[in-house]
Amino acid sequence: MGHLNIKKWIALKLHQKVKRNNARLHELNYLFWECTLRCNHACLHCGSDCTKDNAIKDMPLQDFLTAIDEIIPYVNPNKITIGITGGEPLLRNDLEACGLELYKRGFPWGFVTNGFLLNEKRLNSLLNAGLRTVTISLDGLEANHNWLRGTNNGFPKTVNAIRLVSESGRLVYDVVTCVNQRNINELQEIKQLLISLNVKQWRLFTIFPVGRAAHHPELSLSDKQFVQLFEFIKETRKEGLISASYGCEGFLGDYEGEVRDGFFNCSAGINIASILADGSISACPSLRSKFIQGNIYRDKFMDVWNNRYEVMRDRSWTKTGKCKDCKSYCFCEGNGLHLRDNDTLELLFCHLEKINLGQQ
Amino acid sequence: MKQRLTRNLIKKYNNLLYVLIGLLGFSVACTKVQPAEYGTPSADFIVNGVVENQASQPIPNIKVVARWDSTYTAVDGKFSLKNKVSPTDQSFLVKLSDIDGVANGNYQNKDTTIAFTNNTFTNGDGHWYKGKVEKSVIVKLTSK
Repeated sequence: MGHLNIKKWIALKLHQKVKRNNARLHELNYLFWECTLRCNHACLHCGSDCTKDNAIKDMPLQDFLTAIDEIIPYVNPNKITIGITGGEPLLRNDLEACGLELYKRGFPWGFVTNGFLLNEKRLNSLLNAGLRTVTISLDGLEANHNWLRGTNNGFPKTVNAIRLVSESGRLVYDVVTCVNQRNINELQEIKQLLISLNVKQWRLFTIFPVGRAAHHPELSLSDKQFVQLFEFIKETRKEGLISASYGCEGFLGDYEGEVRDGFFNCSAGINIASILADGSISACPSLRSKFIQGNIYRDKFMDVWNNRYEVMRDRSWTKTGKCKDCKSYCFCEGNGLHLRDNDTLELLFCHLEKINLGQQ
Repeated sequence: MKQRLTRNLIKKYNNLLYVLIGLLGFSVACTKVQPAEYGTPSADFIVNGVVENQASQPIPNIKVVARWDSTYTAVDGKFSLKNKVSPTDQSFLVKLSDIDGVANGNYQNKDTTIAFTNNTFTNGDGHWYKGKVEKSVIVKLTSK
């Protein structure tokens, strides 16, 4: 890992000020709703610990809409995207009803899916409910996708879902791939598949040791493979056939500005909030336990948004452990918050450290 | 007010920083927090009106405000206001005020509500812009 060149160093310094300003502004522009914990897959890496028949019941739509209606007087709905996540949102039969209510209120909305249940009829009904964005997970070619997702027949259905979304011509969408030891060497083939499906945006991310992944260390890339992934993304971006990017997590040192469209910026609690399945108010859905800021069944969402989230807006507390003496701390500020243990708040995964090891 | 000014200044400062980062050759596409805004369903709600006195004579230079748009009536008392908002039932409070004193007559201010329900939009783009819907009104002002 070489030193940052002077141009990048200056740009990162400027970006540091942007991040501080954004923390002061604290403007909500993305709200996740964990609409269900039920799922029709059993992904090895899932951070939500979903099951097919989860003990936590789905939140009634009206409860979510009540929270949304409390937000409306304080915001411009057009500027807040509602991202519906799960679990698998398509398991909710009232997803369209939900979308239509959001649409009527002026919120752009989208959802994250494994695509298994997305057929032409369902997509059309979602489009009629004002669906704007979709994110579909494709975690490898057939064998590895099915392995990671704990399904026998998921791959063709997911590919079909990508095709339908791509052909609709009306959606902003991307495909996300969880890169692991089994699929790292088939990224070229996955790329060709996505290009053949006319996919324009491809987001690749790595697994961090939370949720089920904590019990499957083979899901994490080796240090060398980690660097291999960034080199692959760099190369793909140079080709210009598909816009590949690394997910939003992690400060990447020299790779900053090379493998994403912008610099590392953990917006959890700065611009992003979530309403979880049990009503908890958090930031990204993977931030739970000590990161929970309130609950819609007890608190007014905007009161929570305006008056809490200090743990995310002021991250000076993260300068402990391996972050304490890190020279890149000013750019990184403790890495993505979801990479910290939700209870002890200790850093579980340092991207920069792994890159350094991989480059040795 | 002060808080709003401060926030605007911070936003302007951020815009300057984005420019500088861009000049250094780095993308700012995702630097502006989240790439989360993909547009939204919208439609134009247009209120066309005439402002008259009790004798049905047009009144020029009356200030007319409806939500985010404002204008002044023309010599023939006509005005047109347009708001681009969600394509659902909408209601606009139209505020009319005589701002030029005795010139053109001296009239009491008036508020009136224009409701748009069961709308039929025209000239949409087939995607998120549903088109426009118009209503015509005649508003009578009373002399002071």
